[in-house]
Amino acid sequence: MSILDPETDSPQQVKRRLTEIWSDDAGTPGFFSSVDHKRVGHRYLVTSFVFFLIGGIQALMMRTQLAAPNANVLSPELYNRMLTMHGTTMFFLFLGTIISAWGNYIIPLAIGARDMAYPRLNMFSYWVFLFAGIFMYLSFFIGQIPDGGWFAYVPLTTDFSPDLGMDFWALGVVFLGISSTVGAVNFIVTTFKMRAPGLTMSRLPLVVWSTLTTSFMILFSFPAITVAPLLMAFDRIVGTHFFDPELGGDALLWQHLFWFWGHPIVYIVFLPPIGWLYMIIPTFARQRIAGYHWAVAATVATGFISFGVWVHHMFATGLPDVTAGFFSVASLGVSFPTAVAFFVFTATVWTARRIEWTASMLWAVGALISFAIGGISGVMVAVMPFDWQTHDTYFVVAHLHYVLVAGNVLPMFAAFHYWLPKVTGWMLSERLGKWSFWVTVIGLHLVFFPQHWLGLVGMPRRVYTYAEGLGWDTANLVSTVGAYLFALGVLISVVNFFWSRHRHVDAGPNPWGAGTLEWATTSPVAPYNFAQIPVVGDLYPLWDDQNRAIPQPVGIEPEPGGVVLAPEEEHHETLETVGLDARIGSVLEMAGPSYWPLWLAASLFVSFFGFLIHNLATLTAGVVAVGLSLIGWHWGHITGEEH
Amino acid sequence: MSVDAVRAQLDVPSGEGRSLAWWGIVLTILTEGTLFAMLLFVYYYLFSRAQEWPLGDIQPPELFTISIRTAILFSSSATMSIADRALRRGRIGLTSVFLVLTFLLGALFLAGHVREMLILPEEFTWATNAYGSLFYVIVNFHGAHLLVGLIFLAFTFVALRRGRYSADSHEGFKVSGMYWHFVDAVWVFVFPTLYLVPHFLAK
Repeated sequence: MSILDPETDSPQQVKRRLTEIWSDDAGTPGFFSSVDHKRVGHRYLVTSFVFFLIGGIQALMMRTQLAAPNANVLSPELYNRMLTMHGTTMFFLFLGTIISAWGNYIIPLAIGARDMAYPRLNMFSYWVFLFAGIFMYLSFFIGQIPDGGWFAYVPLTTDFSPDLGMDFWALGVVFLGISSTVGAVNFIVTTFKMRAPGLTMSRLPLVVWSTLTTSFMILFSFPAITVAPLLMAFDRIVGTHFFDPELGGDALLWQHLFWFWGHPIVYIVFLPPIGWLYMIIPTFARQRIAGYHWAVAATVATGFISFGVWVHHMFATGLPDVTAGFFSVASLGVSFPTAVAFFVFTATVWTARRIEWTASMLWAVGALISFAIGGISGVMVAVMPFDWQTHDTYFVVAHLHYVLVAGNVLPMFAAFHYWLPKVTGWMLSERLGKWSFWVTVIGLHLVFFPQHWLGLVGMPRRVYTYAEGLGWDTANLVSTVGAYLFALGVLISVVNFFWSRHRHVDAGPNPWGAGTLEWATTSPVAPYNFAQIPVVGDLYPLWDDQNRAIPQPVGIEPEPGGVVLAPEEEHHETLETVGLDARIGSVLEMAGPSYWPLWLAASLFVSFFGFLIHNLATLTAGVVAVGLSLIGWHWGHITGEEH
Repeated sequence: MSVDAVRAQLDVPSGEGRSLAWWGIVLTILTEGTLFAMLLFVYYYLFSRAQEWPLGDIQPPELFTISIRTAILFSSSATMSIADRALRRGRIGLTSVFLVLTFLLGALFLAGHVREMLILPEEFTWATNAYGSLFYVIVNFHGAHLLVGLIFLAFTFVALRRGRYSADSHEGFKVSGMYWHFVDAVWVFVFPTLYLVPHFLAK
């Protein structure tokens, strides 16, 4: 049935039917064939956080080595490898994937959909992420860990990294790019087509706007991080000369390609976290976001400008002044939309009658204040003469870590406190959350604030140790102590998770009294998300005119006459909407569970592995398997046996 | 038709929009197109910094065969368009004929590509110098996309013969046509770069 008829069916029957339709198979088969966006998001969350911890351990190893001059904790060689893997793990495997984690879990709920537009592609994107991460970390098992820096500048990485390390890096990065790209396509189409009826683009939650912007940025910037490492892999493995100046190649070409991706990616990993804060802060300020349209415009403008700033990473390479000047101006200009975002937050909090200082709110506000420091040092290095002075020093290390930690890691913890009750059904401890916040944030500033000064007095970055008597000892020691404090703060959050799970305080559907649609369903979320397709008429559909949560959310109990789309056959049905104003389009049959995403990702793994070990047989087997998986994936569509 | 029931039930306007498949292929084309743009950027970047072009003793590519092959590839876009129009008028037989013709023209182009790879002088490889690297990587990258396009067409043919497409539902057919046109359109940029620049902008 598609409409609940009170004469023939009860709400309980409808929910039972929907559960049958949307549940995965039990046990192991269900685990491997599931395409549920909630499972995808859940897996992304766990995997991404594990990589965050691994990257953090590598950072601690480096900070331990740098605690005192001439230390011998890590050899120079091992330091380089940890430096490379810290940057690679954090940027590629954590920062870029935690946004997909919350995106996958929250966005379909926030727009009132039953799944992402392409459920199978969605799970495929996760498997590729997992396999690409494993691929890069295989290097640890043979001791040939990437050692050329996460930025992988040539010729260091072509001529002076002879072992397989940078091959793992280059091919792993290309492999992972597939995951990000298909994920971006999925987010865009989901936003355009799967919004609940009446959820116009001007009622679209800001987290969806920021992920939409980010996804377009991925489409246009990730080709650079596919082409560059692929050409590097060709140079290293089959002997081409793209980056070899002796035979017509060019070393600076690498930097152009890398930073054409490398700067937009900074905003790609920062805009969605700002989107989380756009959701969290209004909830705890009990206030609608001030200047919604300004926030949307600022988000989209940041996306555009971010493509015109990459050369500011290359001010010291001797480019013509006019070129560098253009990029300097653009880099200064990108601070304008970010400032608009800050004004939006300030105005929202300013006009609030009462602010609830929950752990989530603390993390959110702490993130914004810390981020401002990184923003200001960003404006400083956008000015060319200043950049020449601080280039390749710890000043830049301080700047980039302020931006990334405050722009992504702290919002991640805010999001954990805010949305984990939706994922798990139980609340995290507020007290431990606040302890974790203060310890982590004090740690953060202790690590990175002294590094500004270290950079200004000339300590170069990327060095494994330094001499005594340069006056750098105290600041370095403080920085290392801060790193351990930061780690302790993170540990408190991990303890909080397990302790709260044990304590199990029931969350209920809307523990924060929030106004957006993801709170209109049960916690944890039922397999079908919403028992009844919601119809949306407001940016905060769950709030009344006093910004108080309405008592009976729409998605939990289907009402007589509600659109439930619970067919007799085992089809995943949902409503497809069209246009900016989300008119009713058609009833869509979505793809159900399938093993093909797993096979395709595994086949790609075999192909990349064959390329890595220069083994044509393995490569061919992998490519054939890729072809077969693709045929299998689409076979049902071709024959008409399934849709 | 349950959508009518939904429309009758909800007080929300209804409308017709693009399908999921259409959006999927458009976004794929955008990102793949950027990928080719990146590769051509690499070409022109190295070209602009080189003292001589082509580098070393490599002769500029021969133009006669490639011009014919280019004409073949572009005509395959025309036959694909005809197939699409035929399907929209419900003429499945005519659609099949022109789809097969498109496939054959594409396959002919690809056969020419393989032949070209085999007869290129032995001293000209992708390891010769950056010019060789650029030529081989870009031309084979396009070749690989063409192969994917051909597989796409083969799938479409099977689906067509199994009655999956008709005048009313030809979205899937249109989408594979769009990918095919894209692969042809890329050639509009790849051909002058790889074959005409070494002749007419030689230095």
